[in-house]
Amino acid sequence: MAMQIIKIQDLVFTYENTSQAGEALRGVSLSIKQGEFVGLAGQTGSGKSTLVQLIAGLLPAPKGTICVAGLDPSQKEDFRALRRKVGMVFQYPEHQLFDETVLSDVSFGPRNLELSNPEKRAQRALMLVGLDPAIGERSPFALSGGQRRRVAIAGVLAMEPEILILDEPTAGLDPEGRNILLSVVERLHREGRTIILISHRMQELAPRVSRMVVLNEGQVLLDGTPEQVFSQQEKLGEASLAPPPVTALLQQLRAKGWPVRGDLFTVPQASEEIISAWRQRC
Amino acid sequence: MALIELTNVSYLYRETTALANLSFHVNSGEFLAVIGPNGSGKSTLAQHLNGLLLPTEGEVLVDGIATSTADSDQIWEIRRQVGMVFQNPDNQLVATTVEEDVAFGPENLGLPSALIRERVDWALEQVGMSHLSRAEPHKLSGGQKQRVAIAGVLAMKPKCIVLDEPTAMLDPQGRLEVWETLRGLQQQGITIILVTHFMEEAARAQRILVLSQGSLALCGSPQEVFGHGQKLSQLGLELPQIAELGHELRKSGILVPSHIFTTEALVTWLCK
Repeated sequence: MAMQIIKIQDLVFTYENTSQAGEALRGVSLSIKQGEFVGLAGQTGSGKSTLVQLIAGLLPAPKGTICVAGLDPSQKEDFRALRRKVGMVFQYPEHQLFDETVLSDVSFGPRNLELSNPEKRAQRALMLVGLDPAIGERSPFALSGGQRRRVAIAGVLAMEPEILILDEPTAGLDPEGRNILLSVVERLHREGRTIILISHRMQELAPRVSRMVVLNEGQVLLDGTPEQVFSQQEKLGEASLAPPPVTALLQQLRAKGWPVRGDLFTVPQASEEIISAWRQRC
Repeated sequence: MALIELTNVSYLYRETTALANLSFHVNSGEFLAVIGPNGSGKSTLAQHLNGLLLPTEGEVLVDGIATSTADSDQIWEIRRQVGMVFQNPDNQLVATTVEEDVAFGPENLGLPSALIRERVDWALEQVGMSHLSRAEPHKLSGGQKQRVAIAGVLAMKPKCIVLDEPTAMLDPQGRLEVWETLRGLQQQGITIILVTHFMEEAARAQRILVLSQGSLALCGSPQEVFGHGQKLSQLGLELPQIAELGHELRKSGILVPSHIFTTEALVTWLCK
């Protein structure tokens, strides 16, 4: 059985600054196994960002226990080790690019952590996100929006984290940019990394992740396979979420007596299902 | 009647052609969506619609006045009539309370304070933010911030609002709030031009304009535009999931009409 790389028990967190009161956590327990691909969803204010920032050790100590790759993120002495274990890609990460060349920007993390061969790590990270290492010589500001975002993600990957957390990595990208980025994330998962992907687009999460966690008002509302979670329409509604459009369509047909499954998430799957039901009806 | 008219508009930026010989018009009171892949010229186009950018060739007429030959009084009038809302809500709000922020524009017009008050109250009501008029903008949600930004434009009493990906940074709830606000404004006769990446949003406009490499690739009702599934995917765009499903079903002989692109409509059609 795979090791539990993240263990969270009865986590309670309150912000002292009241303007973020909505983001508090009110008793979250969650374990994530090594190599899992977790989709994390919930409205703004549900506590998603707070949860992932606690995992990455970016917030002060919460109540309850949290253990990430054997480390305690709230302990200062564990922080440096944690930086190497957990890679965090914030929203619009390309806004944080600063260096003159792509290569020096991407190798900043490993240099800062005093790892060996920072440039080699950076080149490997660029290849991982599907960019030609030759791009390393160019200025990050001369690239397209989608390329800049992949450079920013490479900057996190260059530290070779075991756990990668991505907060809305496709926001603001066009469909082609979104698809490229999601296939990069899928590949990183296939290579054995543990992934936590935050997204508002259920059609992005459902067909890719092995597990869905839905937060609502600082608590875990749903936790299970995408098939289990997206069949709970009422509970999803509590978190103002809806299944992907084709899934909702299949569920409505099913409610009208069509012999179709209600737990498929992609257009090819749904069309195959509807075609065979249609032929049975005729 | 055309409120905005573009004739053979080209725009060169550092020797690259950002807009190439673009001609179209925007009717008074219509809801127009502009879509296109990143780098297709959408934002450049948006900034041409109120004289923030001037065409290198061709002309843009706003209410009959050409932006490139307008004097400074006319340019200010054009910018009052065609308001802009941008993507990042955090970069647009400047004052310490919501109502001060909305009052910023009318104050610059030098209106008497009673009239400013009236306009601010009216604008906040239009976007459903009256109850938060004394709130600090930075404490609002993304959707609320964008509604305040829209109120700031409304307080200028514009004929048209151009929104450049106003929902790109919002969650589904915020997106819905902004969308419903825009619908309400259109019903009052304000022309809405929405630049967006979200096909589901474009699907609800009256007309869609598709840009590719600075040129007009497609233009028509959502039904007409989504009928060109293949062309859209060549351009790096995607159909709404249900329209794509309809396309797949048609290939297998289930002849779903191409104008169906919502879950409800497809369920109804399949069950008829």
